[in-house]
Amino acid sequence: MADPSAPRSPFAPWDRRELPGLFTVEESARRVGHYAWIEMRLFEALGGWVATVPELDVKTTLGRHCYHHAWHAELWHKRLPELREMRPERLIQAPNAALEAFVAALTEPEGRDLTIEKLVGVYRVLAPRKIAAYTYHLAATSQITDAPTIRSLGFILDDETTDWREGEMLLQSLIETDEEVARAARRQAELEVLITRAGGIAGPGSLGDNPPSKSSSSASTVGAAS
Amino acid sequence: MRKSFPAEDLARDGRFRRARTEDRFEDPRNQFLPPGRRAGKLTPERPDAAHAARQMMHGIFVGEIQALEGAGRTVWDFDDDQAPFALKLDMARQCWDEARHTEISVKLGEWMGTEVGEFAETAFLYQAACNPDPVLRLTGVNRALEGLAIDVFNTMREFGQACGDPVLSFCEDWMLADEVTHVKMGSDWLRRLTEHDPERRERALEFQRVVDKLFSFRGFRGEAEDSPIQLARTFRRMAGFGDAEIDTIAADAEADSEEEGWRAPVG
Amino acid sequence: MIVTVEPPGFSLVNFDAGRIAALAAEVGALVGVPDDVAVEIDVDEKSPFGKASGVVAGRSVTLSIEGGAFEDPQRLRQFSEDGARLVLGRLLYRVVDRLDPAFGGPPADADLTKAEHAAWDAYSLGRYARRAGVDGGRARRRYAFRIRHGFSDASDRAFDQLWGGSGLTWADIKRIRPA
Repeated sequence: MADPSAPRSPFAPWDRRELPGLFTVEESARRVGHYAWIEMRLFEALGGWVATVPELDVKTTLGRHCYHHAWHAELWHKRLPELREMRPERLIQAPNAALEAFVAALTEPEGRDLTIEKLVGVYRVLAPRKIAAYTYHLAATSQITDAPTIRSLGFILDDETTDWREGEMLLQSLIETDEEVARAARRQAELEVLITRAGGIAGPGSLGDNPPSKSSSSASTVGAAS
Repeated sequence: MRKSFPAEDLARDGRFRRARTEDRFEDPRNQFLPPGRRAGKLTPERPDAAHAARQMMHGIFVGEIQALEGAGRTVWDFDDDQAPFALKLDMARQCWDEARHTEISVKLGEWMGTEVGEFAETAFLYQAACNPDPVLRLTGVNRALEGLAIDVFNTMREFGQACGDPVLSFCEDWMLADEVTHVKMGSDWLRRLTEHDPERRERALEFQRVVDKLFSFRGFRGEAEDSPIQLARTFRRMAGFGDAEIDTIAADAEADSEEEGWRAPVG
Repeated sequence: MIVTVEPPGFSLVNFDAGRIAALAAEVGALVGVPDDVAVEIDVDEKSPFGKASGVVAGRSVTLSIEGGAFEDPQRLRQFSEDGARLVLGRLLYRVVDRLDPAFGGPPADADLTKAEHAAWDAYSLGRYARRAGVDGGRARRRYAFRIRHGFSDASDRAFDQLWGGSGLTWADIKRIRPA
């Protein structure tokens, strides 16, 4: 071992974490508030749907996933005061009316014969959007200053990916006919239009901004968060 | 999706058959039952022990489905001003627990040779979860019905131990642990939400008493040696029930059993 | 097999005496009840319980059925043909055994232990299931057998032996028990 009194780098050679990140405290808080909102709406919908679906395996899956998203919402609730937001309810809201319209459409189906429509909305439209937005946040924020958010994102993304896979498998097992394929596709398209108008679960810039193309004579820069 | 979902709309696959609660209570054969006749505590000594245990397990199974559905509706039915986020978080946790109990019950049914939907289902548990006041709903479900679940699971656990069924006693013990948590959730929220509203608290406790009486199955649950379901005093205390409350349940059950006979499951 | 059903009419449950008699005759023929045996089936429609037993006296048989034994578990007070066939199959195979001198003269039903009942039921229903080409409730019968004989591999082997057995005597049934 080297001389214990010899100076040693505070960051181990394999620790490649960078300090800069794209998000300020306020920007991270803004996004976290939107995340909390969508997780709350999602767990409420999953809980409400349990009584409406006849398939036993779908019932129990929705019950399990309901808790996952409630827990995610709790993680986000707890993060907000740490991001200097002492009135979390101020930030726990939809980014825009378009996402509220998306959620209203997502939660509209109730009939016992609409399990495909319910699951498509969650697992083929919302879940991929959440995974995308969370992954962007993970990549974009400071690995050092926003570490608590990153830690929560790690747990949440693990749940989201597992739940997405389970939901997709349920859908594949339920969709058996050409007509059911068409139903699923129609439902997905309807909801994709709505969430695209919203710009994603954190509004426009959920996945960052693509800067306009510049001429080859100037350097391109990474787009800042909106 | 509506903000209130009636029991008659509960979605089931084709294996399930719904029976009306009223039909059971109004069964014309009830008049011929000798007063106080009970099938007896669920023990291996009963000639119909296997059938009675299977039927009870199926009743637990459909009860868990309804408990899952009820907790899920509580998460959806109320806005933030009616039910705080922390309460909904507890209900979401209960969704997970009841989903797990449903899965355990399916496995136990397979273990005992029972088919899904083999016995008719009555929706009285979910009906108790339909109260429009979240405090009454929680009290009726989490204190009354989950309290009944403590009694039922303890009875099944003891039955499993008595007949040497390692799977039944193991599973019932795990579910029993969860039910103690659910009762505590109900007790905690009743206290918090009615801290400054004693009248609402009293309405909630009265609703709990009504539910308790109804689901004591007219003497089916009690402390008499021949009550099929035994009141589980120890676990109820652990869940936060006071002795006075437990005494009231026992007294009501005994009074009901002396009033009219109870109909045992098919042997 | 000569079958009579009491009562001839039902008012508390939706049972039909004629249908019960026809089913009993059909099951009796399947399991081999001799033609000269008279079977009276007494159904207590006032009882929702499910006890079912039989007494053999010479060439006369009395089957005592609490109404719940024939009741559809999904539909209150409605008759279950499948359920009734299983009950009748179990009871009538026992009748056939009692009438067979080679079987060995078991004690009266009231004098049998619960373990002996469970063993004989497994043997009876296993035969009925094969004759009728039905499941016969094998899984739930195994559970009932386990309650009486223990939850063990030895108990399961004993059950399988009884369920799959034929030509067994009463002594064989008593001998087949978990080691």
